[in-house]
Amino acid sequence: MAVVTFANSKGGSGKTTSALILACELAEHASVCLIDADPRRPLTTWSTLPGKPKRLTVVTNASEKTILDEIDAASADNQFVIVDLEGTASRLTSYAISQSDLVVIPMKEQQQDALAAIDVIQELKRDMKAVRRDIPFAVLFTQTRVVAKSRTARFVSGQFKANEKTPVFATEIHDRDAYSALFSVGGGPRGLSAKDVNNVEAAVRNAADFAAEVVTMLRSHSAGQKRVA
Amino acid sequence: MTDSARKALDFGSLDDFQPSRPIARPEASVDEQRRVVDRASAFPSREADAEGQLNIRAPNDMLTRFKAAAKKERYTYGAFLEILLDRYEKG
Repeated sequence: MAVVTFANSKGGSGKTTSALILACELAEHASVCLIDADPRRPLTTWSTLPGKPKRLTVVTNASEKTILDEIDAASADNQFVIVDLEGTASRLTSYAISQSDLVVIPMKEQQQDALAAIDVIQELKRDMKAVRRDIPFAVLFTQTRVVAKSRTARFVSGQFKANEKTPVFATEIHDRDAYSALFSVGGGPRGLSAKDVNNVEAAVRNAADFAAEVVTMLRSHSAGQKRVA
Repeated sequence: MTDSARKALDFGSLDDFQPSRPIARPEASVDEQRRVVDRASAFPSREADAEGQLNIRAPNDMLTRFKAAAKKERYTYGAFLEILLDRYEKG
């Protein structure tokens, strides 16, 4: 079992979209519970649309006081638990982080997202001290342009990539119509029709690459822990 | 081949991930786990306080009776109000 939490205290950083594409991709192979802890309930709304993978369940978080019980219950029944958090610096974020095997910090290649990502990393380090264990994390660049990145984007992402203390996913979640379409059409990238959305195949490939990298990170941390033990 | 028919990539079997309880302090109660995080977290709670306040205007002898009855049983005013309401609703 692995708990993967998506956290960035800034709204619109790509948490929900990246959590959803990871959940759908993993649900092709395993049982997955997606906990919707965003007060706007975007994933709960998505789950009412057709096309939800059979092995994926969506649980709506009730409050910060219930998140630990929700993660606990989901962990007992699923191979993967994915938590999509609200875009605020809240205690709910800290509680979810404290239970995580991996924290994904999605951010656009913009200054404001970067500052919020750094806030989350600092909070994560406080939480690690509190629970006395290492919680792996990595920054995920989202809504990126496939070609011709802007100078600002290169400047912002370059600083993270150059810093050894902030692990960064090699895979970026690109700005694709396919990902926006999921919230109106339903289902995951693999369920989209090439008739309705451009370049579905590239979106599917991007989602699979991201999921594979998450699984590799989880396995490598788990192997590291076994070595230490 | 349509995209929806595209075969999912093989991560290798994911059987190494099996349902289980979280590894973080599995022996600790949820309250304890929350308290541990509360001591370190700089992110504040964003949830509304579950308690509020009510200012009641009533005849002084009524207020005195209410306060004396609550004090006699060592109830807070809030707890005593709940008892009175429960009795009222039961008829």
